[in-house]
Amino acid sequence: MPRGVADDVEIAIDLARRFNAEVTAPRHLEVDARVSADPSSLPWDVVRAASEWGLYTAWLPRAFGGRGLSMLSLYYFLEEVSTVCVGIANVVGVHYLGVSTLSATWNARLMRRVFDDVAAGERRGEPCLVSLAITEPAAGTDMEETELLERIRPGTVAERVAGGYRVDGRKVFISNGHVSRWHVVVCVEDRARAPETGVVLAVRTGTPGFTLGALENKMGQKACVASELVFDDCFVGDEQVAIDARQSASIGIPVRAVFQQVIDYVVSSTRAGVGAFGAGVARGAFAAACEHARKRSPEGARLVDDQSVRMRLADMYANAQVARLAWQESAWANCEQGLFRGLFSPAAFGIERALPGALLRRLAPRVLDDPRTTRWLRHAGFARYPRSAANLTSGWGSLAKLVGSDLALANADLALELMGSDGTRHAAGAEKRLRDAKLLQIYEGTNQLNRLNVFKCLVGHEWSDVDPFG
Amino acid sequence: MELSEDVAVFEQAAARFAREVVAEASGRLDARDAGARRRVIDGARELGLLALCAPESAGGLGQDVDALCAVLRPIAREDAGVASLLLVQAGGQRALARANAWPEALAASDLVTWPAFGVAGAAPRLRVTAEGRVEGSLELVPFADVASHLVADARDAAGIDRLACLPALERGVAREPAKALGLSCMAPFDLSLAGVATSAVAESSALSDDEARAWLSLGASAVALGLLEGSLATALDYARQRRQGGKRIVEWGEVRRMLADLHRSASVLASALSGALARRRRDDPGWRDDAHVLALEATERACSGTTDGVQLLGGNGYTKAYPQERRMRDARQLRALLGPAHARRRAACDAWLGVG
Repeated sequence: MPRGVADDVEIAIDLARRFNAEVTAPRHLEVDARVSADPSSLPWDVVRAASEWGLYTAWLPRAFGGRGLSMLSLYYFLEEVSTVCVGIANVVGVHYLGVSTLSATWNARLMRRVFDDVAAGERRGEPCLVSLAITEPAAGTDMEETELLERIRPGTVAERVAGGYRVDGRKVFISNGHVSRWHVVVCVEDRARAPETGVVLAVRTGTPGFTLGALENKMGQKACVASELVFDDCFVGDEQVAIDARQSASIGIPVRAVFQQVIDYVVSSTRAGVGAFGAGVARGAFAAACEHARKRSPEGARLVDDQSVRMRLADMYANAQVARLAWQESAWANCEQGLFRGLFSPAAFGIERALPGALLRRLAPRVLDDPRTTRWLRHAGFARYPRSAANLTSGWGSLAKLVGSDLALANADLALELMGSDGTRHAAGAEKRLRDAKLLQIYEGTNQLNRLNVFKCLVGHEWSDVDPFG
Repeated sequence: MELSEDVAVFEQAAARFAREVVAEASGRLDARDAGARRRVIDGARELGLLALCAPESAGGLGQDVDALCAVLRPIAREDAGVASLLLVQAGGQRALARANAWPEALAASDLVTWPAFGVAGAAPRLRVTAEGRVEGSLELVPFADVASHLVADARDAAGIDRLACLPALERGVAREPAKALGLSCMAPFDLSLAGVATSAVAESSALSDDEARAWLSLGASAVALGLLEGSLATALDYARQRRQGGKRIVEWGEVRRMLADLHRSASVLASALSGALARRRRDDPGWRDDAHVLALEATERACSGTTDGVQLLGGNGYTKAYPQERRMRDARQLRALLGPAHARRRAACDAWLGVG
């Protein structure tokens, strides 16, 4: 591990604790109640606060105007914020889902353009978030696995035209959609040959033909809106194409392989993030249950004096620790062998840290806009990326996600059960935690898909006679 | 479940009411639409469901827990909040009737709230003063904004626990709405009572009336069963239509397993409820303990089954466009209504071992 990563982790945890004390804890119940009462309201107050705290650039490399904290430390930050409110943690976390997807295309020039916009927005006090738009009305989990994608006909189509693409279709359940300025959109050129014609575009809010549609009225995670994005003859120029079949051909790799690798990079890193969310929820539930058990005496004796209650608290503690160990393993795999490995090598990490910021920013346009940089990154990121590493990171991402989310829900429910009717009060926070936790088992691929992916990547990866999705 | 002719008539009427009135209103009930709630309550009153378990001497239909469960089950398939309101109503009426404390001013169809769910043997939160007035505070009292009467335990100056019935809408009853997880039709309130005159006080206690509590356990089991059956119906319908990976999701092995588990859970619970009601009719020794164990099991199954129901619907199940996320919340609220689960488990264990 490069020197300095451990320092970053400490910085991230400290940042999260201060953010929790000043923003998350005082606001999370009010935001939940407000959006519950008016599902059309947007949590701009949370987004602005996160922006003022520098959270949308803290984990961008310094060359892009960010603070350059190690991506490993982001997971610790997300876990910590999730101990209080996983919805608010997601308002930060899902921005890096968009950032990671764009990064996974290794399009250095487009990354610079979008990330510069993010940094400039933060400086101006105008939050500039990035969302990821994959899910469609008739295709949720399918869009995250090429083997499933080839069996369906996605609804969002990018038609090749002179100078770019014309996009038509709808995306749904897009986290942070209404509060983001950039949207990384995954679509296809040919519905009948979806995996062979994948296209990833960066679309800015305000682009003609692109509108923000309805907001989902969800059970929980109300701070993080889920949006519909509507594309109606929306022209996206070539300079905003993150990757497509033509760019894949230029590096000699079929777009199907590139598309799967982009998705694998993204979900491997973000599913570890969902695992961190889960560990945070599990910890928060455990802490609330402990406090309740030590303070409340519904039958004359303190709850904690009941042996069965002590057993349940021990279970909850174990659940939180197991969830944490699972995402840590997955995050480590991402840093050592996955999307973040480039900046996790001691040499790259050291150089990025050592160079003065002004010099980095002066060099960045020249280096990042040079097509040779993108070609070199793609050669390393796609052509030379071993399947074994993809299996490891993808499998562990799924494992961390399903373990973390299952244990989060288990702990949230155990706390609620222990607290009895007290726990069902909104003001107690326990019922909100349960509502919030359930979504962890659904987004970033349902836990059912993730179990299949664990089988595909870690169990049956050498069994050529078995179709994991059959 | 085999139903007597009389009970079958109630079951059919309730099923129609559930389909035609409750299903249509459930989304708005969850959004706390007061008009929708009033129409549902009025509809239940017109059908006689509010007077189902009130004694005939008070103008009620005098039905027992068999009829109550037969009514609650189909209604809970559509909205467990409406079913739970009827359960609390019937429980309060039952407690008053058993204590011979039915006030003259109370009509059989008047709404009665009864926050008697809680730990058996726990000290009452209310006091009866020497002048016969009630004071103190109660938390999370269901539908206290629309109930005409409140039935609750109160301790008198001599330290004797009594069952008090008092007008819930009187001045002197301060109500503070409490936002809760589910069962929206029940809309709980925290109450402060400042010397409220009672309509009736009986030398009885609901919390120590094990028969009344066992009766409630059976009713809550019927609500839990309705939650499971509603979840299964919604999930099956969705799985037959939704496609993933190029085929209907009902064709995916794991989806079929989850659906079969839901079906198995509901079937086992239906059999268990049927058996428990039969033991209640025969007045078998131990039927009360069985009822409490059944409620524990039923609410656990409802919690896990409704959660799986959300999972079967994926992201759609997590939204209010479908009724499933509401069922998941309702199941937890129902579990909490019966009192802390660890205490109920211990009580069941003590009863089984003959200790405690």
